[in-house]
Amino acid sequence: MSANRKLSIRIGVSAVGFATLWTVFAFVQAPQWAQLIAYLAVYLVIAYDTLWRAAVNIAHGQIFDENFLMIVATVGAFAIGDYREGLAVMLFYQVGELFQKYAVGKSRRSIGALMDIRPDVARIVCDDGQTAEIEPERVEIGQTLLVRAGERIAVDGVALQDGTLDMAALTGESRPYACKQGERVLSGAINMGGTLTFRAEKQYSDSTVAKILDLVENASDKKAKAENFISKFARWYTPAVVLAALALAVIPPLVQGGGWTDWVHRALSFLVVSCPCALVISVPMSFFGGIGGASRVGVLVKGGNYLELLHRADTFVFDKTGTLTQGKFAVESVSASESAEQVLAWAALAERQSNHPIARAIVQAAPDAGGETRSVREIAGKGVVAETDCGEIAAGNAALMREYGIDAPASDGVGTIVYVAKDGAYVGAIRINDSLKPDTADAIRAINEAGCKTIMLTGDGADVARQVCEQTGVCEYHAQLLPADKVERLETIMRSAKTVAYVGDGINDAPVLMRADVGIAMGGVGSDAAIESADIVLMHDDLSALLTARAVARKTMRIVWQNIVFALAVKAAVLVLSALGVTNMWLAVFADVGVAILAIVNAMRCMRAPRPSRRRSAKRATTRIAD
Amino acid sequence: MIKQYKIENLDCAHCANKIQQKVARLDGVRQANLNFMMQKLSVECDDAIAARLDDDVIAIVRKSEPDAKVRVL
Repeated sequence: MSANRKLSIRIGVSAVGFATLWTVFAFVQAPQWAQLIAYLAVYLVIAYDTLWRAAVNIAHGQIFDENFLMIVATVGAFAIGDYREGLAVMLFYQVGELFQKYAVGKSRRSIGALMDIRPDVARIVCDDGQTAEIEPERVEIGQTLLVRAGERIAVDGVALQDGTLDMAALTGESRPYACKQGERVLSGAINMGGTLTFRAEKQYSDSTVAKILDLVENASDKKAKAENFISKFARWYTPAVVLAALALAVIPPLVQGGGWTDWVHRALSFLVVSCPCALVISVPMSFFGGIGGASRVGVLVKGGNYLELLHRADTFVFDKTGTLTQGKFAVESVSASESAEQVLAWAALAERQSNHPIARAIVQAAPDAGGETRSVREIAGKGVVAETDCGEIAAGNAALMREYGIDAPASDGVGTIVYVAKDGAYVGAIRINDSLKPDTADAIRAINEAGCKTIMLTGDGADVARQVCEQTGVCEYHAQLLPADKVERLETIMRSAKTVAYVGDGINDAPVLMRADVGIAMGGVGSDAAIESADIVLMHDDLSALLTARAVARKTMRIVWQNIVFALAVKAAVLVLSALGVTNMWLAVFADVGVAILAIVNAMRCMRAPRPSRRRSAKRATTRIAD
Repeated sequence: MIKQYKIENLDCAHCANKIQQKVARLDGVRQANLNFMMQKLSVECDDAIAARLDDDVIAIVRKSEPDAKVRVL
């Protein structure tokens, strides 16, 4: 029989016993000793475990133990002749304990269910075409796996055919995701289409789903200030209340010269509310619920302290490329003395082997650049110079042109300009742009309206930065920063702000993410660097996820403080009323158990992540902005 | 090194805090953290005491919360 079941039966039996005795003794005049024995018998049924634990703890030298204090309070009531009160207090105390255990178990289970994204099984395809089920942990890199409709992908891999995935468990986004052959598939996603095959690229322990679970499960290792405050408070609260009870029982009777029973009675009420459990339990429960609920909507939080810091953040610093903008570059225009296509083709020839996003944009714009590239030199921060069978082609910024003594006309307007020169002569310039994410402006407005300062850091020139700020409503920008400058600039900002949140894509700004009070990485799906260095990971790639994270933080902190204030206020009220003799132990135990139950129920609300309040705005055309 | 324990039947958050505090005070323990909701205790300690730690943790838990069960992870 489970412990909870046993306790409920004991509560039921003693409640019936209690009611029977009360009724019987109301009609039958029994001597005091008979009443005492009858009530004590019921008392033992309900209190024997508490008695035992109190005895064990006393043997261990712990006197301020809640079991012991409850025994003192109830036995004290018996001693001054209040049998009914003594028994009732113990009964309610046990009801409270039972409920608390039940609630903790339930919230542990529901948070467990919330995080039930672990794949049960992996189905590998053997050489003979047969499939075999194995545990996800045993999948090896390179194996071909098969997922049937409705099953979870076990490890990260690459799709071997087109398919449809439900990524809700990872990003909170419930729209089906069409994945193409050759595209990366992430563990934890559910296959919504027909049977899908993919090749394992990572072991289970390195896969997205294992990382997410690990992160959320270990999240409350980092405790919030509110939680530490409560633990500290709890350490002092109990001894202080017990000492106050002792003083209340002894000093007034000595001064007045009598009235012992009354004052002892008042003091016993103190002992009843001396356990800080309601407070101590509701705070970690709230944070854990908040973190669990957030993980459901694609926001991974590494600790309660980060929810607290995000809630307090008064300054939001954003990286530009990949955070405010899509980080996808495209050729916008080409200015050329002769043929624009020819200039693009030459540039593409030179840039063909480069992985730089700008180079990729050029190559994409001119896919069939004819000719052979013999040798390429990449000049970091400037561009490339390539020997081709069309001649020597230089493609890069103004600094590259200066270095080669090529006279390139200064370009007006904004954007990244790639100058192209052939055999030492300027032939044209290509302007490349990045575009804002569709919801950037809305999200920035919401943050500005909440009274927070928004700042953008970028490596680009001031022209581009100013234009992005105008389009998005970001208050302030710092342009032309090298990656190393960003940390320094952030530190300057941190000196004049209370709490600074930094939002980046986690790809090349790990040091900045780590330095900020709260580092928030966007589009964290499958990005190890982001998951490692950020405090909060937004699985979604757009800024509305930041608003969701803020809403979660706000709700959690509100509930935490509601519980703290409410529990403290009720306890304080009970203490004052008991000291004045206005209330009695009945009310004290009701208040105490009641507060605990309400605080726990309130804490469990944290598990439902709120949606940020957003005004519906007309769908904006994606604005092209320069990069 | 970091050692982890699963503490089952841990129902009292205040006792959990006490356990964490006592483990953190053990000689050679650099940091102890008890995740009440996950019922998991992680202890960062010197290698020299790692072998002894299990018994110490079990003793502390038994003292603070006699109903709880400790499992070494």
